[in-house]
Amino acid sequence: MDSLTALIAGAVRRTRCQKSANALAVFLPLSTAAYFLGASLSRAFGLPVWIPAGLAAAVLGGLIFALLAARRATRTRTMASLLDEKTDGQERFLTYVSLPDGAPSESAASDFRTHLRVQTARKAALFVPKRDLPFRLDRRVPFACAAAVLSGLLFGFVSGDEAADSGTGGSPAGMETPPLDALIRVIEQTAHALTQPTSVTRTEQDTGVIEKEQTGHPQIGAALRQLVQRLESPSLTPRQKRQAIEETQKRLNLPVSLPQVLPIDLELLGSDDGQNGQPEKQGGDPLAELNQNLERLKQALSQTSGSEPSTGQAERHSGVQPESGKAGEPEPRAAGGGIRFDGLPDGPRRERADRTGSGTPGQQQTSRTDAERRQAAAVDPGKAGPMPHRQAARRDPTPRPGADRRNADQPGPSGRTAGKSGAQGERYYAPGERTDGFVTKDAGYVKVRIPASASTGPDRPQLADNPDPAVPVTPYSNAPLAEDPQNPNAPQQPIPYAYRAILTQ
Amino acid sequence: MTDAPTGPSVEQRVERFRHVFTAIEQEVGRVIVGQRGVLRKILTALFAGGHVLLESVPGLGKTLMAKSLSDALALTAKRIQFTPDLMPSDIVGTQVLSEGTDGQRSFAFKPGPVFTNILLADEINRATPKTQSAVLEAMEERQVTVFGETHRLAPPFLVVATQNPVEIEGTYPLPEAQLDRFLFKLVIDSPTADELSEILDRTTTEARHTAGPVLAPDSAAGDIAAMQNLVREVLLAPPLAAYVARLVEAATPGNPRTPVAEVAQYLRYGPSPRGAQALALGAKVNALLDGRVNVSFDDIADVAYPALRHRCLLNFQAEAEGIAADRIIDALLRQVHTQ
Repeated sequence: MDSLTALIAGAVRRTRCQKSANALAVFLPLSTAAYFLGASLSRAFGLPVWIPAGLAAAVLGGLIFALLAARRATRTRTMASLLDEKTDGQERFLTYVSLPDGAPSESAASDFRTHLRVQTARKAALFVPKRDLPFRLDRRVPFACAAAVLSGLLFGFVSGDEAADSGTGGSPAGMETPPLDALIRVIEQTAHALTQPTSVTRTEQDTGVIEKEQTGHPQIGAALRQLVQRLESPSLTPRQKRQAIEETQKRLNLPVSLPQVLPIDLELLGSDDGQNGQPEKQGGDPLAELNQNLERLKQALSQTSGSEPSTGQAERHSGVQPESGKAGEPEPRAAGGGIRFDGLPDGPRRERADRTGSGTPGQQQTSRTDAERRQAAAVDPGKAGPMPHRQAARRDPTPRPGADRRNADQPGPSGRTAGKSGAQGERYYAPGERTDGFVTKDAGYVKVRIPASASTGPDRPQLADNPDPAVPVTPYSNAPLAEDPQNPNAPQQPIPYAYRAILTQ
Repeated sequence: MTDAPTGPSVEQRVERFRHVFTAIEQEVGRVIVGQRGVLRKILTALFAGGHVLLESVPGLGKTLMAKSLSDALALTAKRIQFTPDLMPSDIVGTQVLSEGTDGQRSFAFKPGPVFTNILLADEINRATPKTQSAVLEAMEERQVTVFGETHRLAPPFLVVATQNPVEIEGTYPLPEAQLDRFLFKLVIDSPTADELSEILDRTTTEARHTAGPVLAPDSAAGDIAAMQNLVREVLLAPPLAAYVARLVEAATPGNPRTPVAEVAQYLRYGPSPRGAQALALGAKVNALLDGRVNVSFDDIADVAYPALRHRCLLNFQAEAEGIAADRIIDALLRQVHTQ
C-alpha cells in the first residue's frame, strides 16, 4: 500500500470513527431516554411491560441505520472528494482513487497515472488529519444526554410515587389498585357521613364503621373528621378555615379537591372583601363548577336530611306539611358558615312541599330513621347533575310506593325519570336533552337556556303538567338572553344605502 | 533487444502545451484588444479538434481575430463571405475541364476555399441551406466529396463561422444538425471604454500590429496534432464523466427525472452526445492549461456555457419571455450535483 492509499484509508478510518462516535453519542442516550420514558409511561398508565424495551429497540434500530449511513458516507471516493476539498486538489484524489486498478497497457496512460500520483502526493503533503479532520461533537448529543437525564428523573419520580403509595398502606405490590372513581366515591361517602346532622358520637361511630368497612383508609377519615371539627369552630376566621382546608388537602394528598367532597361553604374560598366565587389561588370556572356541585349537594342533603322535613323525597313520601317555625330561615349547623347542611331557603321548599303533599295517605311515611337519611344524603356530587334528589332517591333502598307510582305514571324518555319533584316548572327531559344542554341531530350540542323570567321571580308563569314526556312544556329558547353581551365582531346585515340616512336620524 | 526511444515526459508535454497556448494568446493579444476569453475558447476548440461559431454584431474583430490566429499558428487561413447566391461548389471546389500538354482534355478538381487550415465562414447564416450543408461534411469528416471523388482536408482544420444576431432579414438560420457540429458557440461582447481607447490607439495610428508566428511553419501542423493528442490523453475520472452525463441528461426536455424545471418549461430540444463530448474535451484542455492531467469539476463548468448554449434549443415560450440559453445552463450547473 503506497502512501497515498494509506493516507486516504487513514482519513476514511478517522472520519468513520468520528461519525460512529457521534452516532453512538446521540442514539445511546436516546435509547436510554426512550427506555426510561417507556418505563415511566408503563408504570403510570399500566401499559404493557414490553413498551420500554420496544422503544429502546426502535432507537437502537436508528443507531444501526446511522452507523450504516456513516459507513456509506465514508466511502473511499467520498473521502477523496473531501481530501480534494481540504487540499484544493482539483479532483486529483478523486481521479486517483476512481481510476480502475488494472492499469492500461499503453505506456502513455500509465505515464499519466504516474504523473497524477506525483501531483496528488504533493497535495497530500498539505493534508494534516488532526487539523483538517478535527473531531466535532454532533449538535444533537447535548440534547440526547439531556433527554436521558430528564427521562431518568421522570422515571425516578414515578417510581418514588409508587413506593410512597405502597408505603402508605396502598395496595400491595403486584396487586391491582382500586379504580380512582371508586376511591373518590368512598371518600365522598365518608365525607358526607361525617357531615350528617347527627350527634358527634353517632357520626364518629358511623365513620368508624365506614372507615373499617368501606374505605380502608382510616387516616383519611380521621383527617376529614378533624377538618370538620375545626371548621365547625365559630372562633375561626374564614382565612383560618381556608388554611385548614389547604393543610388537610396537602396532608392527605388526595386526587380530589376537598371542596368537592365536603359540603364546605364556598364563601370560605372567596376573598376577604366578600366577593364570593373569587378564589385566591384558583380560576373562576372550576370554582363555579364546584359551587354548582355544592348547591346540588346541599339540595340533596336538605331533601334527605331528617332534620329538614320540607325537602323533596321525604316530603313526598311523608305528606306532612312543614312547620312554619322551622321554615323561616336556613339552618347552618355551625355559626361562621363553616359547614352548611342545607342551604336552601324555606320558601321554595315550602312551595315544593305544598305541591307534593298530596300523596296517598296510606302510603305516607311520617318519619325515617337516621341511617336512611344518611344513606339518602350520601350523594355523589360529581354525578348528581341538576337533580341530585333523583339519585338520592335511587340510592334509597327503602321501597316507596308513592314515588314508584309517580315514576310509573310518568316515566321519562329512555327510562329516565323526569325529576318532577313537585315544582310546576320542572319537566321531563326531551329526547337528546342533557343536564346542561340539548343534543340535536346536526348541531350536536345546543345549550338550552331558560329565560330568567320564566324560572325565577315571584311572577313566574304557572306551568302545566306535561302530558307527553317526549315533548317538554317548559319554554326554552336558543336565543341569547338579554343580558348576554352582543358580539361586536359578528357579521351584521348591511343596511341599504337608501335607509341609512333615515336610521342615523 | 533495444530500449524504446524515450520521448518527452508527460510533465514536459504538459508544460510545452501550456507554453504554446500562452504564447499564441499573447501573440494574438497584440492585435486583438480584449476578448481574451473568446480567444482562449477558440484555441481550446482548436486543440480539442472542434469548430467555433462566433456571434456578435459587426465590427468587433471577428475576421481580424481569425487572421491573427492563423498568423500566430503559421497556418493557412481563408475567408468565405457567405451570401444568398453562394453555391456549394464555391466552397468545396469543382471539376473543371483542362487540356493537357498533349492536347488531351480531362476534368481536373479545383479545390475550393475549404481546403485550408483555418476557414473563416463570415456570416454563415446568409447562405442558403444547400450551401450551408456543403460545409457539414468538411466540418465533421474533414473531407469533401465532389463528383464522387473524396478529397481529404489537411489537418488541422478549424472552421470559425460568424453570424450577426441583429440582421436576421434574408438570413437562413443554421439547422440544428449544423449547429451541433460546432464545438463551441461564443458570444463576443462589446468592448469596454478602456478597450475601445486601446483599439483606437492601435488602429488609427501609423503603428501596425501584426501577430508573429509562434510555431515553425514547417512543423506547425505536426505540433498542433501532437497537442491535440495530448488533450485526449488527459484523465477523466468516472465520477466526472458521470457528472457530464448527468448534465446532458438533465438538459433533455423529455427526461422526467431532470431536476431542472426550466428545462421542461423552456427547451425544445436538448444537447446531443456531441454536447457531452464538447464538455469533456474542453474540460481536458482546461486541465492542461492548469498543469493537471486530470479533469476537475471546475473545468467542466467553465466550458459548459459555450458547449451547451447552442445545443439547448429554446421553445416559443422562452423566446417570447426573453429567456436565454445561458439561464438554463446556469440552472443546470446549480441543480445537478457533482456527487
